[in-house]
Amino acid sequence: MTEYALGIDLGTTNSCVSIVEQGKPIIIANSAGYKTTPSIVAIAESGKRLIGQLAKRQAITNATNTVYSTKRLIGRTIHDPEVQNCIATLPYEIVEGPHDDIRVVMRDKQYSLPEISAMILGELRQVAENYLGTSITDAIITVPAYFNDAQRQATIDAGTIAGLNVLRIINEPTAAAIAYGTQNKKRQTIAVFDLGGGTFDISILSIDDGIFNVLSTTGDTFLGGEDFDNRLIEYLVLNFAREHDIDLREDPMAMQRLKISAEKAKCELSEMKSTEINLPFICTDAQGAPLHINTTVTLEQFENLVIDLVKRTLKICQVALMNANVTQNDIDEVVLVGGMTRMPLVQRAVAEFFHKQPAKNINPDEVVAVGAAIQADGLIHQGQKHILLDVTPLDLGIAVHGGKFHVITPKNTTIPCTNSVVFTTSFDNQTSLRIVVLQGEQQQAAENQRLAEFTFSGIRPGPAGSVDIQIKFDVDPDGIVNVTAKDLQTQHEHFVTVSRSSNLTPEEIEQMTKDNADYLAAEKMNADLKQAVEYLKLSLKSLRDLNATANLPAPIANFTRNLLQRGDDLVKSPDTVVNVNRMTDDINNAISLINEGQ
Amino acid sequence: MKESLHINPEIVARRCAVKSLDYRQLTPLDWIVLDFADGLKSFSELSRLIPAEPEDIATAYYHLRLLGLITWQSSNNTSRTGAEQNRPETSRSGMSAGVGQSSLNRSSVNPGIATQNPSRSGSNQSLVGVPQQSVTAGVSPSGISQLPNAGAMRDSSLRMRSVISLTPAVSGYSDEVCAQYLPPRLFTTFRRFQPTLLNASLDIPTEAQVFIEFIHENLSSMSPCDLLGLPEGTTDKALIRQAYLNRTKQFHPDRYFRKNTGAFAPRIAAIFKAISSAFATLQAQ
Ligand SMILES: Nc1ncnc2c1ncn2[C@@H]1O[C@H](COP(=O)(O)OP(=O)(O)OP(=O)(O)O)[C@@H](O)[C@H]1O
Ligand SMILES: [Mg+2]
Repeated sequence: MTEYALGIDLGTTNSCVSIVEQGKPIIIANSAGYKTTPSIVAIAESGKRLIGQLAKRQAITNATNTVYSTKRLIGRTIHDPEVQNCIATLPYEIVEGPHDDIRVVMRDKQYSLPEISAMILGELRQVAENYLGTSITDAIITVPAYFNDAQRQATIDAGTIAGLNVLRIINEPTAAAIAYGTQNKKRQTIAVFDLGGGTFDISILSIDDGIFNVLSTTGDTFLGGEDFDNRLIEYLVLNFAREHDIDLREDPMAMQRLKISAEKAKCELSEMKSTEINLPFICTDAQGAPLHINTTVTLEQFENLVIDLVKRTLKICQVALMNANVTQNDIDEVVLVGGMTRMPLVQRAVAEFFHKQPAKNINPDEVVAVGAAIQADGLIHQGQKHILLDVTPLDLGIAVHGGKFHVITPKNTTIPCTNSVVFTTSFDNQTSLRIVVLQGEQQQAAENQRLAEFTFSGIRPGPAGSVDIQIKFDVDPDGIVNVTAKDLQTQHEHFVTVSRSSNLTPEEIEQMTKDNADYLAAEKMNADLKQAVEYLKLSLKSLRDLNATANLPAPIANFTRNLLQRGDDLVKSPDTVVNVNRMTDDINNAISLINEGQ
Repeated sequence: MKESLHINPEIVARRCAVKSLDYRQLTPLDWIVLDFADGLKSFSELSRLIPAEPEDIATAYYHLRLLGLITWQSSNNTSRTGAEQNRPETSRSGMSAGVGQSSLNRSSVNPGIATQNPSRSGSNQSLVGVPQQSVTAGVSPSGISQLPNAGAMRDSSLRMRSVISLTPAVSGYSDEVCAQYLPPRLFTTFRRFQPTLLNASLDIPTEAQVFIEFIHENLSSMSPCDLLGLPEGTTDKALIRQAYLNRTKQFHPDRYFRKNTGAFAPRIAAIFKAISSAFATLQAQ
């Protein structure tokens, strides 16, 4: 039997699933026929989960129970200023969970962010399984290149909760490069410019004979399409406030409508010179009279609102080139990824910056999932045709004397890798050393993300500076960091695996995985029951017709009537699939008996 | 110990002339092994004649093989006639350099049959009609060289004749691929193999296991150029890059994703890391 593995682009706004079938990557459309599924989850009044299009469709009417853009929050802690910013702007409730973790609230129930992502992953998995007719557990999930360890780990947790076996987490631009590079085999250096809904990533890669070598990667996890939307929303809100002295930001329903219209207007402005924004009855004034928004936004106005965002992306591109040790002229091809790159201003700016037109024939919405699927397929099947040489996205190191961050593995180091430094004791007879493992780009230790902390004890007593201690960082192909501290003279050592430490405890993950599986099982049970009732209804109808037309002897007619009565009761309040099916069988038997008797 | 061994400069010069080798690349033990190897003695038998451990002798064998001074060859039932015809010459040429053995070199082997045959490890005599193997000193024109299999490595008391190598066709490795594993500069400071490490049940061809172990054991004495398989002092960026890509294909851990690599997994990872830092070093020059 062929084994399949999913390639999943878990986006801020849209997600996409791909598999390799008979050597060809394909994007699988969801049940609504779309190739991308909105990354939106909601809980309906009935307690039923709504995911994707279904959730998006009721986002306005059920704003407080509809969760979106969770990729902006995943893997962060509640105290993160960026999270606080989200709390202020997002319409759903965000609360503090255990050990500084974040929880979102829908219908009074708290969910961790990996649980929300798991629902989306589960939906995509279902889409693929329905298409293939088999069950699939292996998957590669993509994340922005700039995701730190905790964010990656939280994404793996999401996969686990969804019952997936996450083969690997790969970077979105790298995935896009794989998809591009397997079609364009010539040796080249490319830039992948990915401006999605929530994040911006730029990676420089060289592609050579099946080897994808990431030269540098950088980006901004808080720069994406939503920022463009927000600029337009701010503009509209400001104008409205000027005119009516009403702050629309206090009305979640109005904000929801504004958000949707602003995004629509933004997309329209990719095709047209101007667009109309029409929001009747957006709110009422003090007297209770209805107020409307009815305005025209021109492309020029919009471009002026967002030009600084675009300039920000170019600045980051400059850094990426510098880190890769190349110049614009070394770039053979620019690959645009992400819905936002459809904006003409973005395309113009990129073309101008790289001195060349971006590559054509690439679907910016699908290319990431396709690359992930190609990589997943390559990994699980013998004969890995291409090899991915990815890099560490951020500096890794430890905190040293004076609260400084000492980098041991610099960012953009090809993984797997090993780096080590030798430290010495700082006071006489020092027998232990506190080691704080950090990731980030700030000089001050405290401003970086803390990955782990451990004490290396059992150091030989001696005068300050007399004991050499080697700190070794090992990053494996999955990006897992291992740290070893070792007394070089005695070979005494201490080893810790740093990564795979997420905001959730293993017990929490286990419980969430179970809850998710239980929910899906119950859901499936409901679906099966519904199906069974449908079959019962069909059988009942046949029997009723037969009863009406055939002239049945009195005892049989009585029996039939009784059967119909019981069947109708069961349709009204079905209990279990087994009982419903049994009733259907009874009725079908009766039908064949009557038919035989005639 | 090795330094005290006797070297006959004349033989050295003659053999080196064949492959225009620098004889300084050979360790004293290599020379002695070359002198004693007749294709019939096992490592432990040799160890009784030469003051060295069987493992060291095995190491010398690999070194010699790397240099192309000996070839392991094998023959089986299908090429029996050829083997018989060539046998007298083969065993004689065990000591003489430069004798071509091309008729035997390409023969394929069925390791299953060969290892099950008790006559191979039990007797010293060549039996007509059973597969035969011999070790030949000398350079084959086709440059083909083969290695003994894991079983033989594990038990060095096995007769050398019963050493069976996997042919490229069996191992899935072409000679070109094998050749890429070899650093051009050879080392006078060999670390010893751990024959027990080799494991035929792993998803790595035995030949590759040997190379992995060889490189891993010598990592600390290899320069960046050695690691990439480049001549010392290479500065051509394109060459360096190409060499790095080639090495990546061989040693990137993903090449063995979900494969049973046993004790080799950390070795492969260590080699790859060394290779990428070697590349970074050369790149930065
Ligand atoms: N035609 C268009 N013109 C301008 N913007 C568009 C267009 N189509 C989609 N977008 C924007 O692109 C963004 C979504 O892009 P995409 O689906 O690539 O993001 P994502 O993959 O979900 O996010 P990320 O990669 O950041 O996690 C949205 O902000 C959307 O408004
Ligand atoms: Mg995306």
